[in-house]
Amino acid sequence: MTDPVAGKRSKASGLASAATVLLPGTYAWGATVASPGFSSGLGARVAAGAALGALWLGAVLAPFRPSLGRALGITVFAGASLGTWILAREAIAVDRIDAVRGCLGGLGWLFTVLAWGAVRADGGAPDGGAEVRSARLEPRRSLPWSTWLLLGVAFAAAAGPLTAAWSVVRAEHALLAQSAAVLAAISLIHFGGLAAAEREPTLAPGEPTLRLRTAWGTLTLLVLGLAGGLLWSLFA
Amino acid sequence: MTRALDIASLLLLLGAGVAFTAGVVALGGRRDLAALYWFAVGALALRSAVDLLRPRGSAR
Repeated sequence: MTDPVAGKRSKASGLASAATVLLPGTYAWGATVASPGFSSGLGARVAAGAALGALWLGAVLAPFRPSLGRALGITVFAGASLGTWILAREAIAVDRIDAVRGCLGGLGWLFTVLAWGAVRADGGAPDGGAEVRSARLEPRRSLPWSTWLLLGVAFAAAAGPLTAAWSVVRAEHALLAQSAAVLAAISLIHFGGLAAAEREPTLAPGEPTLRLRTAWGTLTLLVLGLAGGLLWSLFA
Repeated sequence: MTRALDIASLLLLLGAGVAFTAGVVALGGRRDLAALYWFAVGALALRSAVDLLRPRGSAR
């Protein structure tokens, strides 16, 4: 026999988690998808309606069918929103975008994505195989200089595209350049930081041959790409 | 050898930043194909740097 108090508590918890997603999600949809979608053709209206339906259905289903709920509430919601923007591209031309509404809508998307995140259970192990480490992790007293150097190089490399993006004056391409620059900077700092964390003295770096073997494929593609670009610039 | 690979991977990381910067500059100069090329080169350089620095996990 099920405990009625526990059942009510579970329902309340499910409703609270659904509301956490639905409030920012519906706001983001209203600010960035609904207005261009419903001021355009039938296809854009259908896509905008499908986006909202997927969000609500996904949030309601998530406590009972997490995979299906997240697929609907994240993937289908984002995909249908993207479809709306593609079908209603004239309504979202750069000169027609309301900057304040766009910023607030962007915040709505940010909070929607954060709301879909899950808190790690007590005692759970984070990703990265910490649970299979044989040696005990020693507390960090200070970071080695190589970590600081690596992080410094990553930040210096990330500053380049971020600075260059402000020199793009074409309106449509300026927005694209800012997005590309932010994505590049995040990638550089993220992967540079991950690599720096792996450079701890307690974690022995891979043998040179292993390192070269791992990077061999991408290094070959890189050299071929650079050679191809050089030949193209010489003969095209 | 290990020190040489460390320096090479640092240069690759810096090179990735330079390539991404060249891509953004090309985008502003109405050279969209060149921008795509430089973004691809930057991604390859970044991946190579990470593979050289932490070969066990590679880029997650």
